[in-house]
Amino acid sequence: MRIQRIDLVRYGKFTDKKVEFPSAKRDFHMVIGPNEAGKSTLRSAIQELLYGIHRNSPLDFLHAKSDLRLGARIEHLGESLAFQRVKGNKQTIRDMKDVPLQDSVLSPFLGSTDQSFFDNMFGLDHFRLVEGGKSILDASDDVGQVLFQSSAGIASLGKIRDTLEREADSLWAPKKSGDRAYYKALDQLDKATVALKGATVRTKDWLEAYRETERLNDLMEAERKRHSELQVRRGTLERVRRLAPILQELRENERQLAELGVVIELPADANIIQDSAESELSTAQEILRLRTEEVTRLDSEAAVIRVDEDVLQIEHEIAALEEMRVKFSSHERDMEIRANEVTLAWQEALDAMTQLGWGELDEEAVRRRIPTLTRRKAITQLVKEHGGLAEIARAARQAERVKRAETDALNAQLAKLPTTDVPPALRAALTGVQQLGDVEATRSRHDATASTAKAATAIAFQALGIWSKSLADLRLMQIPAQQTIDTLVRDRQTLLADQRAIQARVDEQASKVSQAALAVRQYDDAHHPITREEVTQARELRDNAWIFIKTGSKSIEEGAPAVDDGIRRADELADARIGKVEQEAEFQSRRQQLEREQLDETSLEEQNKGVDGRLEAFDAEWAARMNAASLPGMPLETLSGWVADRVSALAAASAEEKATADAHQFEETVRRAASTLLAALRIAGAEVSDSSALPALVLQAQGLIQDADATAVKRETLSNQLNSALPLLEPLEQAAKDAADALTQWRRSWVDALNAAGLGAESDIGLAEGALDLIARVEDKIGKMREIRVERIDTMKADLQSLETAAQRLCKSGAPDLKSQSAAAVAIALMRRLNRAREDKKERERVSDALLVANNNVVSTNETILKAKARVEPLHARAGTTSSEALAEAIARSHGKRSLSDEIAKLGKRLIESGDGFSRSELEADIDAANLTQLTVELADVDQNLKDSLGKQTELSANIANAETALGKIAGSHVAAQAEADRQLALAAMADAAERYIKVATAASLLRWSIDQYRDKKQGPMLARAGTLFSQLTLGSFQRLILDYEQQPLSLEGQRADGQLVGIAGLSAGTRDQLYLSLRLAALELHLEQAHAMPFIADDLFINFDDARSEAGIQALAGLSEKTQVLFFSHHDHLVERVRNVLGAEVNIVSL
Amino acid sequence: MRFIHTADIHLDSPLTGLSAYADAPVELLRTATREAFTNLVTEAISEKVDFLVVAGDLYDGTWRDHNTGIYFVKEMGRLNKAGISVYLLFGNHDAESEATKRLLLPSNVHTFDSKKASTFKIDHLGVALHGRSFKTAATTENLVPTYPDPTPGWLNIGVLHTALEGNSVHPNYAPCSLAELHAKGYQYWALGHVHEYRYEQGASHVVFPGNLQGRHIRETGPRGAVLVTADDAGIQNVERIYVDVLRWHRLDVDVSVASTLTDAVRSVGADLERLASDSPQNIPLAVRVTLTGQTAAHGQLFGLDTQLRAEIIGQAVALGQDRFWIEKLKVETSGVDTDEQIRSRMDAISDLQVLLDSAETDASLLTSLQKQFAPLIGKAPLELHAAVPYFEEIKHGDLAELIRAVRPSLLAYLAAEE
Repeated sequence: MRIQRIDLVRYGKFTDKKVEFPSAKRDFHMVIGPNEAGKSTLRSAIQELLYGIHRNSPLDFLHAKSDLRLGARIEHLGESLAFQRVKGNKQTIRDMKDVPLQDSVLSPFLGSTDQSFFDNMFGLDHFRLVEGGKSILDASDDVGQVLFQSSAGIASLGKIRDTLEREADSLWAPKKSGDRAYYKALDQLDKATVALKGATVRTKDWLEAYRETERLNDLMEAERKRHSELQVRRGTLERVRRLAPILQELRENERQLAELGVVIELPADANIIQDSAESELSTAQEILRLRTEEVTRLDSEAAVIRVDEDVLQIEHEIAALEEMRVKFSSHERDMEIRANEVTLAWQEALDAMTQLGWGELDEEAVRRRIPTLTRRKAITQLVKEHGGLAEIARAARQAERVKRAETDALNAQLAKLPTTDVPPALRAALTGVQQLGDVEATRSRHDATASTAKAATAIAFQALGIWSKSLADLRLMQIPAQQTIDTLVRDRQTLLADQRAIQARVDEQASKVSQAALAVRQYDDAHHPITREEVTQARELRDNAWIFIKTGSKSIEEGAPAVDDGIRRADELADARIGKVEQEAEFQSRRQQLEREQLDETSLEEQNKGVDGRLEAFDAEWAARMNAASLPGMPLETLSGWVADRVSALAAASAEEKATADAHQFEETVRRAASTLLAALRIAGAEVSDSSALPALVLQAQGLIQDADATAVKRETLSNQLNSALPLLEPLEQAAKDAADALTQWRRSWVDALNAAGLGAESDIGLAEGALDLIARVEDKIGKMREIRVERIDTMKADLQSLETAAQRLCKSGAPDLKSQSAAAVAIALMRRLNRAREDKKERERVSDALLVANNNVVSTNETILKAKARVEPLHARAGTTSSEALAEAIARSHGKRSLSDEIAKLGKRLIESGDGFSRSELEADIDAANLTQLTVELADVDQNLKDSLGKQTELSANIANAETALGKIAGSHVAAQAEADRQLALAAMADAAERYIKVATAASLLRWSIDQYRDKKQGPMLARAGTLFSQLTLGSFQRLILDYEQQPLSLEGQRADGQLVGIAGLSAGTRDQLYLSLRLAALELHLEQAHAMPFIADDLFINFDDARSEAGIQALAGLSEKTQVLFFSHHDHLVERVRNVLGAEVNIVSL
Repeated sequence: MRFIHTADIHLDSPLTGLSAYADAPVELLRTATREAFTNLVTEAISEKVDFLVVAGDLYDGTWRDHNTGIYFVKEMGRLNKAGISVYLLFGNHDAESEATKRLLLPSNVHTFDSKKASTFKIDHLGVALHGRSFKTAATTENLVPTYPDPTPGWLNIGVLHTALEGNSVHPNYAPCSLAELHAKGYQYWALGHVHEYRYEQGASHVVFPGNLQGRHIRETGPRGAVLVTADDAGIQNVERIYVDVLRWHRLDVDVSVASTLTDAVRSVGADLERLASDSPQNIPLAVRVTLTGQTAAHGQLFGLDTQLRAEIIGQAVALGQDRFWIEKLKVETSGVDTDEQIRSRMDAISDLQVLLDSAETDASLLTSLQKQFAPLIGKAPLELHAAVPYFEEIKHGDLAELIRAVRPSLLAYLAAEE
């Protein structure tokens, strides 16, 4: 099937767009357009046109989904159909008038293809190409897989097989693994089986457990009964043992009570009352005695205490005196130290005065002798000024001396300089020569230029080849214009192209003739068809034989066999021809086809001859023209080149002439300059000869000029320096004089100041400064002496005086006996008296307080005695007693009666309480009946029996518990049922895993097996064709594809021209893509040999191919386009030229 | 007067064929038959029926755990407390069971003798129950003729464990004909043995109540007992009561329109949703999903089985964790392209088909496959042999069927993978 035209009525960005794919021998169409131009839309349109518009088509961005519509005219085996495709669920195919058509209308055109198959088998784009390249790399060790993937366009075959094998492995494998589904479930099954076994209880087990429980319960019942009886007996014995002593004591108390007779009853605590009251009375009386003695003692203590009230009156004054005494106690010592300090200072002042030469002076005279501070400061100031004035005078004198020496030296140098000069003409002549520059270098350059130009001219003339005349002739010759040459060349190329094209057609036709002839021959060989001519010929032979007989040329006997043979042969042929009429018709048809092809061949050969003639005439005319132009044999195609060479030769000749002229002019200029310089040197007095060379003259002139210039420069420099120095000399002389005057003035002031200060007028600065330091020291010492006397010694004396005054005042008022003592002694004595007075006063207060307390205690003790006597009084009244002893006896009798009665009651109660509910008489009966001596033995016996019984019960109880537990476990538990459920879960999981495993493993094995089979079956033809294509696509870099049978598994390799084998992994990515393309195209070609053809859509296949390989790729597609329609999509403009190179200018190019 | 007729309780018989997954309601299945029976007893008590008839097969014959019997006794105890009598007939499974003979049944439970047909009369109701327990499992004689004549004026109930006219699914035990039963003169035949509910009304009411709880995918639909109402005039009503706790269901989903696995899953989801809305909410369904139809997704459904199963379980779980249990997923689809269509493509896939057609006769391939599967089958527990298709065939070296089954799926998977 091929597409003649496709109409993008309303689809994607297109509205009513028609794209034509006109029929051609090579059904190749290129669709070119930049990105977004709509190539993908067109590709999608082809699929949706043929197989229906997808319900979720994304191409509804301009037209509504329901409005999408495509149209086309398609062709197949001479039939064509124009139809439209609309979007919808049914009746989506319409004729051009929008009348619905049956879906089956497309069946003859589409064959059995569906969209997926069409897309896989007849579509290849860059992405799939690259994926395909990768996939054959992945499967490079499996030839079958490589072939299959390439043939089916399925890149993921290996992946699918791996996935299946991986899944199978995850389900089951011979090796047990916790990761595998089957074994996981098996593990669960084993666990559940163990659990089931553990939980299942057989009926027999239950019966045994049940019976054992019954038996143990019976035993337990009996033992409990025995235990109960023993406990009763033990109770009785225990009671007798417990109550027998109580009963005995009860009976004894009852007897003693009876013996007491009549008794006066006193309160139960009467003895306590009596005892406590008498005890209290006795104690209180003792306390009263002690307290009375205490009062007496205190009274006597108070009477002897005397307090010095007078001293206490002046208490504060004494304290103040004591404080002063303590404060001034060190004054005497301090005063001595200060007096020593004064003496020391005076000694130091005397030392200084001795140095000053003042002699022995008293303190006041010294004060007067010290010069005033103003005078001393005046001397100090003069000392300071003297240094500065002396330095100024020295510096001024020095400056004056230096400047004067400098001017003298300059004058001497000027006097020594010579006087020289050169004439201006010499300078001008030298300048003229120097302007010529490096004469030798310039001369060499001119020579080289001239010689180069000459050589260039020679070469250019050589390039003209056949030309053999002069330069002038060359300049004058007439040649055709370039435009004319171009036209002639184009005309000739057109003739050549026509010749080639027709020759190609002739060759092609010759091949067709051969094929047709072969077809006739083969058909003849295969079917031996009987032609009419053969029958006619046989009949003629038959008839001729008969004519021999008929005419009598032969007798019947002679001619009959030939006639019979002729009849038989003719009849056989006629019969055979009737039987083979169809083959004959076909044979005839083929022969006619052969004739037609031969006719076409003859016609083409004629055309070929015509074109050859035209070409010869054209070439002859050109040759004549070139002979006329003295260019015999010049080919048309090379004339343009010769014309360009002629222009170059003329230019070279002109250049040579100019170089020669320039060299001559330079030599003349040099000669003139040398002559002028020689004349000028002579005028300047230099000794020169006419034969001197120019460089020697130049050096001589330069020497003269340089000497004269150097002397002039030196003189000017010295004059300038002298002129600068002379004006500075006078101010320096004045400055030196001023400085000397200032120093003289200072000396007068100095003498005045010394006199005023009483220092010798002849003293120099050092002496004066020393005297001033000594005077300052004397002044300091005198001042210090006064300070100690006034501020320290006089103050202390005043303090001691005030202490004395205060002591005398106190003596007068409070202690006349101390009047004769020192102030310090007075203060100490008074302070002692005061302390004693204070202690006495405190003691008197303490004794007074104690006395008050003692008197109060005496009163309270008397009250206690009275209360004690009142408490015992009622008991005497009740008992009729008066003495303490009589009352004590009465109380003892009363107490004895109460005690016995209480004991009897208590014992009676204990007897009943401990009697386990029995009455006294029943208890007395039991006790009286018992043999108390054997009681302990009998009790121990019963205890042992009880213990035995308990032990038996404990054992039975444990056994019963175990038995009941065992039985209890069989109480309808569902554990076994659950375990069985778990087993079934595990079995189901195992079954699922096993079933899936079997399927998946079978699928994987089948796939592996069938790919091997596929390889064995397909590798021959497919690899042969793919090898040819691969060689073509790699531009012969590889020659063929080879299957390496030496390796296991078999491997596919490319063979280079030099025989080298390269495995798939060794190919570059681009070459792998080309290998994949080769395999795909080979598979497609094989497919087309036996199946329905559909348009092959190649979408941007050559993105990664260089230009040459792209062209090879296009060549391969062009080959395919002879078998089926090829639609080649690209967005690369440069491929248009490649496509035209391969398929000719007429190839259909659709621009979007 | 009302009574409940039940049979084929198969206490503690496990539910089979379910494999667990993360969200499966596992706990439900572990004691399903017990819970169904407890439900029945509770129903009897709450309905205050007059008595209960059990027409055989309390237990699975091969089940050895005595706990099951104890559980049964306890449940009988509950009925005893409620004053409900039980008339118990042993069937073929019970006859095998040791527990049957040893159980200490409460006083309200009356068991039919196995030596001869016996009759229990309930005087205050005017009911006579005739029956004969199986002595051995393989009781192949017709027991009906040994049953006594009906007691005139009473409501006569025949209790019988029978295959009734040779039911093909169950062993042909105690065979008899329907006509024979009608001719016996009883008003009601309380039958057991056949697990499917069946009610024949003629001269008498002949009823198989079906088993109490479906235990595998062959026992689909609601399960339970029958509640029978009668009066002096005879049987008035036979009503089914459902006590099962998990129901089995086959869900066949036509995925012809699906072109991808996702489409197929979506179709299953829609059908599950429909099933959910049509089923009672309180009973989970164990569903076997079978995908059918000619579909473009056939290859994917085969190749991505694990993913498919996971996604369908996801759909089921999404409808409620305790609503569905996907018992099994069966892919019984076929490809859109027939063998002929694939062949006419003339491409590598069609070449592959031609090759695969000859696979089943390639001795070396068959041997290699058999060798590959031998360790799996050899070590598999016997119970698994019955559960996995192909095990028997592979054991006998017959792998053709397996290859024929896998071949189209593989081809479709390959063709779809581009």
